[in-house]
Amino acid sequence: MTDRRRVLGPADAVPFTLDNIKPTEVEQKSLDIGSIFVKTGVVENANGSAYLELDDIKIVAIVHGPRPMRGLFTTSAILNVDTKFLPVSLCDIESKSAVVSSTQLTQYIRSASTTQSSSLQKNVSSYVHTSLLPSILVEKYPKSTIDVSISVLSSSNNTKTTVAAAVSCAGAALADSGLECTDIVTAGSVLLDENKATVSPSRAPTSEIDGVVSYMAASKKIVGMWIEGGNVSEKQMEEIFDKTEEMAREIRGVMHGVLLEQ
Amino acid sequence: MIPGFVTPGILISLVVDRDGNKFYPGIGTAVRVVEGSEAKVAGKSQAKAIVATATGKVVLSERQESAEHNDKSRDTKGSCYTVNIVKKTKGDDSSSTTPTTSHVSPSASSGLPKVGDYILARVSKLTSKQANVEILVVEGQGGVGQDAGLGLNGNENGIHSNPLSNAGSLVEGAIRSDLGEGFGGIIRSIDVRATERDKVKMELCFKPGDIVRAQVISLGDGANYYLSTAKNELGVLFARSKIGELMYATDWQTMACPVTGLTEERKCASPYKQEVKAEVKEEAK
Repeated sequence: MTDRRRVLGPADAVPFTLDNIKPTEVEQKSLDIGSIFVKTGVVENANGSAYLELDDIKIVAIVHGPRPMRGLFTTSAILNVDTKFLPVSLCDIESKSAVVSSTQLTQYIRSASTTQSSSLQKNVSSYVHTSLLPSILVEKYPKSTIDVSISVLSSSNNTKTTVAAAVSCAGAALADSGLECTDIVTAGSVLLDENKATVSPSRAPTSEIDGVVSYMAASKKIVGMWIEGGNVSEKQMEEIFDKTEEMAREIRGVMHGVLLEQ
Repeated sequence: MIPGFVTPGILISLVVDRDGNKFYPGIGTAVRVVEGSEAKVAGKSQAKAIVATATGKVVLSERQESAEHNDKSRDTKGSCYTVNIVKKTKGDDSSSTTPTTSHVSPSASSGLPKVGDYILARVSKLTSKQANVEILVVEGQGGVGQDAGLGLNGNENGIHSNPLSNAGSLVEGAIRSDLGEGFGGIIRSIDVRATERDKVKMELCFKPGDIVRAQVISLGDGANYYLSTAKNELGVLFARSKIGELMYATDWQTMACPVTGLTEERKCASPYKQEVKAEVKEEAK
């Protein structure tokens, strides 16, 4: 029997030892967006789950639902998104190598997780919520909730790329869950320099424009965007859309293959 | 070209394809308006198309009646199909590019009960006015609310796979339904049977732990679906006697224990009704 009121750890969890790590088939594609690995159905006691790696980024997304909702009657499902940046995921590589002792590291993690993460987690949750909602046929699930929880195990120095990966990972988990969706949501991120656009950037922006745009690639719809860094001209906007759509399509292609293979 | 396997968002076919075949959305599919190159096949700028909303195998099942209906109204040479998406099984070759044609009704995975659906539920609480139940299965669709603890993709080892299986284990059955974490339902005393509705005594119709077949009459309030057993084929399917043995129905309001021979009162579901219907239908054909 499992306690169904709260999300417990996976039923098939095993203690971590280095022996039981086996190399698995890696879906790797060499693109300008970096190498990507997606695996769905990673958590057994969830309706749907996905694990995504994009360069340094490692994200797990879990979908529970439809779950009965007590209280008010609703004609369609309510989507909840919860994002957690694991404390370690917020240390960038430089500061990790700078701290020597474990107490220093613990202190660093503690300060990082209290200051940055809480507002960041909220922003990412609300962005993922905005992106996913149009794809789910919520009217098919009255009186229920759909809970998506995203754990960022390791993040990139560029927040937008991390967010793009979180959206794509959650999209894959939704597709894996069997909940009816009109499309798989994937996202692309871009960093606009004076004269160059970098897709899936891995460095933090200084004064440049950077953004993430979510797509329902098969139905050619934009479902969310988050662009920061000053005034964006029309030409720059087009550039952002072109590059992010290309990346979103690329990821969508990988997801299609992965979902049908498993 | 209809794909053999799809993920959400993939276009399966136009509603009316080039050869005049008609397609209807079934389980795991929806209708969407497409534009541009996808619609060009139909010779229009916009066309209605069937798109997938689930991951799995495309199964086409022919629709006989509507084909005849169409022949009368319009001169169409094509046939009619309902497009369903079925969960992929192990033996399927996902590289296959042709859809499966089958007349077997596919089973969807996470469907919630709708008004009119037949469901199987376990009685969790009994009062003189109503019986509270927990909905386990929607007939023809599979389990409901086996979410946390058992996903649709879950491996059922160690977790209840079949929600009805613990009709066989008394203790577990009791615990599970007492949790009340699933989708709940209420059978009011006036919805128990079709006749003498005012004289229903709930304690002579159900007991906690019974497995009941019922029909959804309303989505109800936030907490419960409203159910009815006011039909011959609806009522208690499985019940345990005082000593814990599974009982069998002797008539519509009596069940007997095979060991002690003692009888208990229940509002029994007639297990025969449907089969008789099916036989009559076959004879008519």
